[in-house]
Amino acid sequence: MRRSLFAVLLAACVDTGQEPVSFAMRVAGTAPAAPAPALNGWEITLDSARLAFGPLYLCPGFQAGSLCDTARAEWVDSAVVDVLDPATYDAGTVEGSTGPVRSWMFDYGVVSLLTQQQPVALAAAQRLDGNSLRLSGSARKGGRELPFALDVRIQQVVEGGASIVRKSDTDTFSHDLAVGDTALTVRFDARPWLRDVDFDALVEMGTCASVARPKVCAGDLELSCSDTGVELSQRSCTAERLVCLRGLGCTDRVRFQAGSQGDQAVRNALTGGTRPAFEWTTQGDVP
Amino acid sequence: MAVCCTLCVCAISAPAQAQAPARTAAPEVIERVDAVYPPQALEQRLEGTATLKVTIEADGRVGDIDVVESAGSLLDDAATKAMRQWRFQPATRGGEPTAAIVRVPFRFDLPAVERLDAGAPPPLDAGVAAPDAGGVSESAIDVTVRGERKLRNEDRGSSTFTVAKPVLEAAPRQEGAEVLRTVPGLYIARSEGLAVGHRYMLRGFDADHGQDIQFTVGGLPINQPSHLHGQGYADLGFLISESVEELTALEGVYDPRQGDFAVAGSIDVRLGMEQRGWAAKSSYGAFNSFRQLVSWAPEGQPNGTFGAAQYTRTDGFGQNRQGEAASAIIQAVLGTTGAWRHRLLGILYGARGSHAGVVRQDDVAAGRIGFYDVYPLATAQAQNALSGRIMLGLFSEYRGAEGSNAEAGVWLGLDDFRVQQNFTGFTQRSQALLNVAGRGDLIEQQNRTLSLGLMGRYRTRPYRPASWATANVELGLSGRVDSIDQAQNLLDAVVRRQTWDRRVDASVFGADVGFYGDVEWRLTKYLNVRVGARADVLYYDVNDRLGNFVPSVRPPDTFIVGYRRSALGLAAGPRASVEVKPIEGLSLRAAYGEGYRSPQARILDDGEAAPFSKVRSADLGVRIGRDDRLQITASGYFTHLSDDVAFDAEDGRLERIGQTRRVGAVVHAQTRPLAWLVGALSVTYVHAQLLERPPGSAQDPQPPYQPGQSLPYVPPVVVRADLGAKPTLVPHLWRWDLVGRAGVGFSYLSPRPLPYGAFADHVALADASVGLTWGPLDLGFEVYNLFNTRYAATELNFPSSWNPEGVRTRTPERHLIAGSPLSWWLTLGVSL
Repeated sequence: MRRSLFAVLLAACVDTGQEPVSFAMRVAGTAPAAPAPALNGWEITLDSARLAFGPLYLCPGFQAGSLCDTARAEWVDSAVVDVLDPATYDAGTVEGSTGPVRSWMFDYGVVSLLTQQQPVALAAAQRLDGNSLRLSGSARKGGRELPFALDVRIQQVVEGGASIVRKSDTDTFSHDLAVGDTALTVRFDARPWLRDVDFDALVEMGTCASVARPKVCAGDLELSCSDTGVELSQRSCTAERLVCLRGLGCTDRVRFQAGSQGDQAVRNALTGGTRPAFEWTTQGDVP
Repeated sequence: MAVCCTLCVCAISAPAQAQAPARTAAPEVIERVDAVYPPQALEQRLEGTATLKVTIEADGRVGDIDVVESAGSLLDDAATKAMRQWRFQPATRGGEPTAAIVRVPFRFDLPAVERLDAGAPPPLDAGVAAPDAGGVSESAIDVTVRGERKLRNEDRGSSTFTVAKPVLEAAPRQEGAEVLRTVPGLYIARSEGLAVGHRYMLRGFDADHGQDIQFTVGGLPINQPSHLHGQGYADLGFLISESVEELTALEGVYDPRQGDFAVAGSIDVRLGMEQRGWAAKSSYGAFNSFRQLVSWAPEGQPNGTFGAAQYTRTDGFGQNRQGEAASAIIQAVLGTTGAWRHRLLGILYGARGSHAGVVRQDDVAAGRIGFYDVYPLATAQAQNALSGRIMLGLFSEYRGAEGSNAEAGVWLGLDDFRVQQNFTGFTQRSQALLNVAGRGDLIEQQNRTLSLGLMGRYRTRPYRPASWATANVELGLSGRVDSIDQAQNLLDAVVRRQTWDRRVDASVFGADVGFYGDVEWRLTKYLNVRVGARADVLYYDVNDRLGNFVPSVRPPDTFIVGYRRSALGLAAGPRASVEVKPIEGLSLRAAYGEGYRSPQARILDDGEAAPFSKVRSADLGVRIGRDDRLQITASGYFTHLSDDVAFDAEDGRLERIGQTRRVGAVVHAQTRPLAWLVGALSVTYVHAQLLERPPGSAQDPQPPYQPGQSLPYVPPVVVRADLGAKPTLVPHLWRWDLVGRAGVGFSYLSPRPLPYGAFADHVALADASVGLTWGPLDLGFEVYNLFNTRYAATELNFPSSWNPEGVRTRTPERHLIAGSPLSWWLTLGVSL
């Protein structure tokens, strides 16, 4: 106590140009006001979207990555964000020092360490079974509905030790960290994440004669076909509360496999697509 | 011209006593100080004998002094000033100390060039009785002391401090370089093991390993230009404290002789051993430390002639801190009576030590690592350093007619340095090997320098345009060439120190040729004006074998890596000082000077006019005191630096931070109220400011800056106190006196700002010693860090990642290198 008092007295005499700052790290989602559009007229309704987020670095330079060996401030933790819940909640504390921040970078709960061969899942990702994102919902088009579920693990594989999501040159981000900053809220919106998923590619209106597969979807009908292209039987997926997916036939929902178009589209959206919003709260702001 | 004053201290012979005579003994000189021939007296060709009648008090202190035979006020004063510094074993009667009077003739000879020998001492003067003792009889003291005028006045400003042996010895010193702590405003700390030089701070300058202080030892320049571990790297680990006779610190840049690195000032260490004969000292101390010293100073030779060798080893006060070192210093002064005097000096040094490196403050606070520990990682435990140096010098002095004089010297040095250290843990990736990273930031720096230098100067006889005005002109030069090979690599401590990245591989050839002129005017006895100027031409030829290397971008067959370049530049500036002495014992001084610091050669571009750091320095102060009973100096100073640098731990090097200014004040008091008691106190305050925004970089294009913000690493307040006592406890105990000694030293460093808005803790350290000397035997006990204060020898603030399995932190965190806890030494010495 005495030491800190002395430090305060000295700080009053000695101006160092910077001061330590510490403020709340908050995360939030965005309530989906309406179904989100996807490719080819599909509309997406999400039932659940849980995202592992962290750590986050705020950098003084205009580019993060290797140019952010010294960050202005950081939150070296992780949290699971309910991306559909607009309420903000505390995820920890951002520590750093005053000064301009012009870029940022973060991971989705899975970090690459210089010292480890494989990326490491932090606590938030572990809660999602090692994934960065777990979401579910349904896509609708013309009266058809495709329930889907998606698990995505996003990790750095190219540049070991670096965060995978970084502010790009076209992103606008500028803030001067000051002692009066009380919170930073990072708000995610899941709606754009499935915008480039091609649900048309998952369905088909085929016949046994036109598609050389044992199971062919003709809308919600699953057709069983012989090797010679003769239809052997039909099955109504709808009647069984299932959906007919290209190559799979009747199944309960779409499960995007790693490397599939849907999986890749979501990955691209998370790492290079729409960015989260960075909202600053300073002393005097109305909570 | 060589001018010597020869003096004799003569005996007291008491008249016969009516009663049965008690056994009496005359006072004996314990410590004598040579008289300095006053420059004015030399120029006015004054000579003669000043005979003093001196009362030696019963405690051995010099009491009243009467001039019974005058040689003129200048010479009388010089003799009196010297006499005040003498110490005596008091006369005794019947075994009891008693006051006595001695008659001491100081003969100041002004020899002609052809008669350089000062001649025989004057005859002994016998028969001055002790005033009331009467019983002091027989035995004469027959002491001959050669006093010699200085070749030139080194006292250029109010911040010139000369620290003599009694103060140097007052407080205990663990190693030779710690004698520097007596310099006002100077703080030194050793934080990187036994084989890496100290870190220095001097009146507002964080001089790192010496970049802002020009060090010379016996005339040998110590700083090494373009050293990889720090510009101006100056390792004083070779110093043997017993061989240090005097320190002269010129804080500021006011003397044209001050050259490269004299930014905060310059410090000259004069070597010599007063105690003649053979001596050996063995010391054992805490942490299984051992020190052995042997020295030899032939009888009848000047103090400057001696040889000393020292070996030190320790297990260290914490993990990974063991080390050993050995040094030898040999100096011979030849030709003590002729016009020429020559001095040969050789220094040999070798050391190897492990060091624990940094620990993060947050790890210490959380209990993840102990304050004195090293991270339990191979890359941390591999930290070590090796240092070796040999220096040889031949210096000649010529004393011509009427005060003209000259000096010339040549020297040769070879230095080998290697350090392996890790400041940042695991943050680096290889630039040479694709996708190789995280093998530990164990940086290896290698630096080998071969240096050859010379110096010379000539000071004219006085020019006397009027009876009240005299002037001397001095012209001088200094030059050196340095051939430097240096390399910096990243090593993997786990796999036999495999090299996993190369950062520096370069050869530098540098030359520095400096010229100066200086005119000293003495206008009456009240005013002394010195005006001079100095210019240095610096030349660099750099073969940067990794120059133009672009990691992982261009295919390797598009060009051949390497960048050879050269640069040359001129640094010039005036040096001036004024001294006004309105009354005896009061001196008002003002000084202004411009100096420079050479650049790290590798940062220069081809054809670039070397971007010297230009320093402008001014001083205004007062000095009060007629003799050494009490001298007080108070001065205010101002320093402006055009391009300052600060240590960047991430790259392990100094980075430019821009213009800086320091405004401060220093108060220094030195006292010797009793012959056996000496004390010194200095308080230095500085307000060190950054005057412009530090240069931006891609990482930080707009570094935070507030006009006038404080400089990192600079402590606003530095305090140093030394107190030493050396009384005779039991006179004539059997054959010899039993002399006791006790000393206390105290250093205080106020909290200092660190980069990124952090503060380092203050440092307050007290050392103490006690000892007994009885004839040839000496026993000492010393305690360092008496109150066992837990302190950081070095504190830094930068990002690091010391948890190889955790999320990397990228924000700066305080790091510290622990200073030693309480430690002790027990020393037994024998002298023959």
